[in-house]
Amino acid sequence: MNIISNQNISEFDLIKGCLNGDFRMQEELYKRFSAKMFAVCLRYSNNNETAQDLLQDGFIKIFKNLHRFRGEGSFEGWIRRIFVNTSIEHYRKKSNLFSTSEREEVLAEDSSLNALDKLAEKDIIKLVQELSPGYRTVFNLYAIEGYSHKEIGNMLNISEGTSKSQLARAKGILKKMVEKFLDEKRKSFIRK
Amino acid sequence: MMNEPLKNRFLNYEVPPHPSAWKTIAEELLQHDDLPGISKKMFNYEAPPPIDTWKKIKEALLAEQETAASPAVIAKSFAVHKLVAAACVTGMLVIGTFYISNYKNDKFNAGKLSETTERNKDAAPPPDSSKTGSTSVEETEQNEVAMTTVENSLKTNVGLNDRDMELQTTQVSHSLSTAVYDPEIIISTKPIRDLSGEIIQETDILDNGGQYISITSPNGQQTKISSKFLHMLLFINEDSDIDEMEGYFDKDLLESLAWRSTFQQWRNEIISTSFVPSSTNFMDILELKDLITKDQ
Repeated sequence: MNIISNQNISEFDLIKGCLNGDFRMQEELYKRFSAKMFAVCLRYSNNNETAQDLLQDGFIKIFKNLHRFRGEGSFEGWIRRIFVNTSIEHYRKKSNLFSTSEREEVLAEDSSLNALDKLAEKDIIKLVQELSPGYRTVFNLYAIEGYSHKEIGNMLNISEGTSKSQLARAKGILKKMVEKFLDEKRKSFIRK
Repeated sequence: MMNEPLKNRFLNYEVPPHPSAWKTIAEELLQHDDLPGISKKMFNYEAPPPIDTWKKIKEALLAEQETAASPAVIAKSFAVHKLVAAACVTGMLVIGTFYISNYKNDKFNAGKLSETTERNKDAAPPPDSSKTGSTSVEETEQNEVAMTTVENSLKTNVGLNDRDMELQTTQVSHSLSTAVYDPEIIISTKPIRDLSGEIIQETDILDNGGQYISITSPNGQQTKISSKFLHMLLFINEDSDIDEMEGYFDKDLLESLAWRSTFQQWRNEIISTSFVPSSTNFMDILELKDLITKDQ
């Protein structure tokens, strides 16, 4: 089910209405950004339920901290940053984002991921959700959000080198997962 | 070259980077090339959330608002308690002021009344103390009722606050107290009259501690003489107390009637002649003696 928002309302009016506590405007803001942000939450979480919790927490944070948005940069960028941080915080609180086993894991294979481009977004999200929280976070931040390893290091309180190695391992695992996924798909196609 | 502005010199200044700089950049680009199009594809991807998510968010926001509002309610109730306490203290102060004011006025008026009573003991009838006391109690009660009525009226109609109320009630209390405890004082002194009934003395002239009385001589001049002569003068003048005086004189002299006749004779002599008693020289009594004895 697609959520249709009223595009006639300007972003300025939307923010102003939300700041005044107008529930109609808050709902409008939700309708306008919820689909994109739910996709973000799905990428950072391991299932739909957790993604839903993250979406809820993220929007509440946005409505409570909307007065902090200074209008510098895009509003969507500010919202996205809040959702990313909410997701990171969620896994940081829950457990150590980077377990020892993940750090010690060595990937000997080349981690080229050209095959990912052939998959649909929904399938990519499913595969990403199967990654461990540390790998998934670094992969999302670097490969999709476009943060540098230095920025990721600062955000996750890890070194730049750790960020790089985490990404390399994430890519190696994803490559195997993509190959497996494509193989199963091919087999099911042949059966049909 | 030397004349070229410093700004332009630095604007065009070039420093060659380290040869390994491009290698680092190229490596970074290659790493991103491992993920062709995935960033663009996934960055703008939209996934519709479940229908009831907004309902949950709205409920959470309302719960947040209620939680934020609850300290305000506590603060409000605290403010109400403070107001009640302040009103009680103000009420006690007003009542205290009222009673202290009454007590002072009672004392003042009691002193004033006793002084007046003593001053007018002889001249005026003594005040009925029991009646005055009961009147005072009644008036105090009326005053309290009036105070309560005025206070309620001010609170209801004007909407004054406690501080204004205190000022207003103090003023009203003062004016009521003044009205009740300042009765009109009437000093009734018995006037001294001549034979024709005209008042010949001013009452304040007689107020000299009872040692002297003032008399008016036949030429109209007023003179102070000892109060010992008062009874005699009243007797001679045949005042209204003549019967009482007669009894007094008869008891001591037993010749009142004879002397009255004699005095009347002398009076007639004095009036018919040019004899005028002097107010400053007592020697005119010799002239009076010659006058009243010339026929004897």
